[in-house]
Amino acid sequence: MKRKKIKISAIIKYTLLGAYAFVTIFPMIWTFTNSFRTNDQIFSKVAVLPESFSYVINYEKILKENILGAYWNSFSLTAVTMVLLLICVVPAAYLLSQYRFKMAKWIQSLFIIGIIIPRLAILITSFQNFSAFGFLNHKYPITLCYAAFEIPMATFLLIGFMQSLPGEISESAIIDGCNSFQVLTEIIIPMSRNGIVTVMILAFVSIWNEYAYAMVLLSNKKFHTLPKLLASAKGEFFTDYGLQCAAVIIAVVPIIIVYIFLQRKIVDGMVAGAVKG
Amino acid sequence: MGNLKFKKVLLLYILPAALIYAVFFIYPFIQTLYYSFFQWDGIFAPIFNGLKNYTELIKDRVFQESIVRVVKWAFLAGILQSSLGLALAFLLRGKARANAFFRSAYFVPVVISSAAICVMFTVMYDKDIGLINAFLDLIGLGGLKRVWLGDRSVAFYATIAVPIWQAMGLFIMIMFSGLQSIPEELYEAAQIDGASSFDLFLRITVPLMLPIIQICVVLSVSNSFKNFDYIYMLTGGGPVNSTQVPATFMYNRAFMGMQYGVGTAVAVIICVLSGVFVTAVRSGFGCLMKD
Amino acid sequence: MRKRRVISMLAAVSVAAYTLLGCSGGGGQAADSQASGTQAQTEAGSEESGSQAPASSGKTVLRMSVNMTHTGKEIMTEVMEDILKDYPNVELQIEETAQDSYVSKMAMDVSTDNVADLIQYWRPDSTTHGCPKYIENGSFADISELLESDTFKDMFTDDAVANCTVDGKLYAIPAEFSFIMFLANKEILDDCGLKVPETWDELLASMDVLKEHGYIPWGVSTKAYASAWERPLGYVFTRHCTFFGENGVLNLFGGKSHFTDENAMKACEDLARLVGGNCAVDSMTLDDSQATAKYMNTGQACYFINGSYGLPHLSDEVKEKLVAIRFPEIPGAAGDTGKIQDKSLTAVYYASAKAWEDPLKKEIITKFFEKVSGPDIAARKFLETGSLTPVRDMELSEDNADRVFLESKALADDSEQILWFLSTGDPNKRDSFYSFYTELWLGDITGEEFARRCEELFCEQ
Repeated sequence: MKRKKIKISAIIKYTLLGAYAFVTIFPMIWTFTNSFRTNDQIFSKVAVLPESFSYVINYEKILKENILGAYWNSFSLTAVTMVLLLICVVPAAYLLSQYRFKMAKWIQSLFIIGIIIPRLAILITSFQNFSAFGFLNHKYPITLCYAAFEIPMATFLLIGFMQSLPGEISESAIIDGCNSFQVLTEIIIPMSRNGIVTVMILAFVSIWNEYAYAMVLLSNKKFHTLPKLLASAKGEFFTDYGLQCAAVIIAVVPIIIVYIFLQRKIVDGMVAGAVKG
Repeated sequence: MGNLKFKKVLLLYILPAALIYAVFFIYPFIQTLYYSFFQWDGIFAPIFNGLKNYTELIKDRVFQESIVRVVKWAFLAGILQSSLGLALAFLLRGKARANAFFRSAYFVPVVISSAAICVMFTVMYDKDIGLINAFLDLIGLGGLKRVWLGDRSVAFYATIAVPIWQAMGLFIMIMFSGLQSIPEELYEAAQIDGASSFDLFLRITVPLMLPIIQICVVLSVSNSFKNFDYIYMLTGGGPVNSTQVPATFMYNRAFMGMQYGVGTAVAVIICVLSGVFVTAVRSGFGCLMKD
Repeated sequence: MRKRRVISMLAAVSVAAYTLLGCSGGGGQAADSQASGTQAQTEAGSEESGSQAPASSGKTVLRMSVNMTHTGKEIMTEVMEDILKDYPNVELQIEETAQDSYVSKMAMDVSTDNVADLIQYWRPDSTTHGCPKYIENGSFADISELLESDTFKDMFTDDAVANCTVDGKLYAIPAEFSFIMFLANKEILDDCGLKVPETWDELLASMDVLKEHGYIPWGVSTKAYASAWERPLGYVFTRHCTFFGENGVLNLFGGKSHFTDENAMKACEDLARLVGGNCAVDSMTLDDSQATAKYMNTGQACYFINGSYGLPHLSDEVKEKLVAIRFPEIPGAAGDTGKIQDKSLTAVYYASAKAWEDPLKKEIITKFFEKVSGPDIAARKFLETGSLTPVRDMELSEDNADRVFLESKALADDSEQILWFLSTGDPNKRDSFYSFYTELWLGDITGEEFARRCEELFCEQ
């Protein structure tokens, strides 16, 4: 009797999950379909398969726009920001989660302020500062902005993960004579791997698709990132939806492929870093 | 807070973060705060305006409605994203291959840029060739068909459904990550005692996950106050201002109309609102976690 | 174990520091094939805070700023690169910005005194894009002297030069010219037993007849910031109030005269009759491209009223069925009579004041202006992109242009110029305006109510 019950609930569970998964993936499939169609075709009827796969003009147009350069720029900027973020956030979260001191609460609140400020609000003043610092004609200074945006949430999240670690291990390590740096590198970091990985993924997604700042601070054609490819489909008087879909596919599919391959490693990282007893 | 003893030199750990954050985030924000008391078109010298930007905004009926709207969004997002995220992560916490597949599938929309998602949904919400209406017809609920982005009564909900749906995968991932810290032994022990799946969830998972849930709710709430690109790209403020939120106001004033003083005043108001709600969430969870 | 971690930390920090200092590391060089260019620019940049300093290797950087979706973008680049072959010490730096960020980017550049040397932007009178302020601020160069030279004197049409002149001084070189095409789908009209409307009454009458037969009269978008739906307003109001006069359309929407005025009221009511309830039910969710694809190209909508830039997006099929019509005179209206057409420059080229003061850059930019407006480039531009350069000797015929285009152009050439009604208005009011303008099109408010809302919005005294 009990066995049957489990089966039915499992069936229901997986059907619902499957339906939701379909809802999540379908837009991607549909975008892929639309990237082979013209505006007229897209807006005259729904279709799961394009009228003809030979309409590749959209892809040709995108490829003319120096995709490799855009990929490299997006990748390098994101990578540098993530390194910066690691350097900033891990020690900060360590300090704020493992140590007890009065200022901790105030510092945490300061970081929370960063979560509530809309990034667009400081675009203009950031631009002015960049101009004053002489950063405008360079590619990498924008990573400082990006890191600054991610720091509040990343710190906050990582503090949350680190707080759930058992305190006795660090305490006994200190008693054994380790200094704070050793505790950080040999105990905390390995144990909070899942938190760190989560924070990095969050940051990656946020920076990879960042558009507003890149558009204004990186207007030099050589520094263009992937989100700009999408923008090239949207003109003053006309938007080419097929072209936009092609741009999306080009920007996203490699990431999805990378994610699928790394997924194993990422999840293992998350699971392994957790409880070690 | 942890229990380790503090020494001043340890503040060095926070130095890189504090430095970058202060110079590239806090400092521009203070400058922005400063401009909110001025009338400034970005080019010529700013003219001091006192609180005029603020009073004018508060008096504006459209702005008032936009505030009410964004609060609704914050509630919906805060509740839906965390609860569904946790529930789905819980269902998918096992090591089965199926679970890994679902988690990846749910994450796919997260990596797609907001601009692209909006393009998709613009067409999906179309009344004639859109998938939503087509699907409703298919399952016999044709009466529910609407001009999703054009009908004032549903446009806002249709619009915010997009970011809420897209970020779901992110929350599932965060929750999943948090769930890993809960030792499997606890579940096993409870199951031996005869607890049902639901009991496990309520009595073990939720209490232990409260810090993570709190973070997720804070994330949802703060994002809904800041978010403007979805609304901007889907409806531009909506049929007859029915999807305006303070963030679109800010964008329009500052970037379309070159009234940076007013734009930054809106930004400050957004921060205050968001700050109030975030504080409320944190204290709420603080109380819950004390038990 | 510990040492390894410390070393890796230090390595990470130094990598970050290294890349941040902007030294031309692996990233910069791999990003482009013009390695020397990056070298010059980074060295230039690290010497001065501006972006136009001469590099230590002796190269001057010429910055060109364009809208990413400007149709003439590739041709501009080609022409410039061609010219720069004779100037081996000058490096071209192209800055492309997306359509929706371009206004902000320009504003920020002006405010930090960092304007590019050669700029493709909107015309000088456009307040929406900030141009009058930038001219007042002295960011754009006064290039009136060009008109004295033989090459430029008669190069452009008078309208075009007038559109580029502010207070008697020339600030820009015309780049792209468009006119509004008012087209009707003859097949649909025939199907409803209607003839192509030539008078105001015929036009109005056609609306109901079209709806009775299940067609949508106006195939336009009624979404904020769309272009087509704004045109009927311009025409109707010009007929009643004149365009340029003291109580004309520009002044009206600029807040300098009132909507309570008799003519303005009549215009509002006539507009309501023309457009109210005559668009698609979901037109407020579509943008112009969607509306064209969904309603015009599928033969569901009859009237098209958007710029010549919209021509490529009409399907070949539907172009066969479209005919160009004139906006009729309105009987009893006290404004502009005769032939009027909304036509103007949609893109121009500026030189920054700083660049104009530098003799080398001035020379290069002048050559650019001359070359890019030459007949061969203009012809090529039209052929490849459909974009019109307003030069005098433009050869258009059935060989290189659509019948519908030629018909509309003939009508436009033969008409008095009117502009977009918010050309000199306050850009902050657009938002609020669109919200009740949508209501007018949906038929939810009357002309009178529309007048009242306009008065409230534009003329706050």
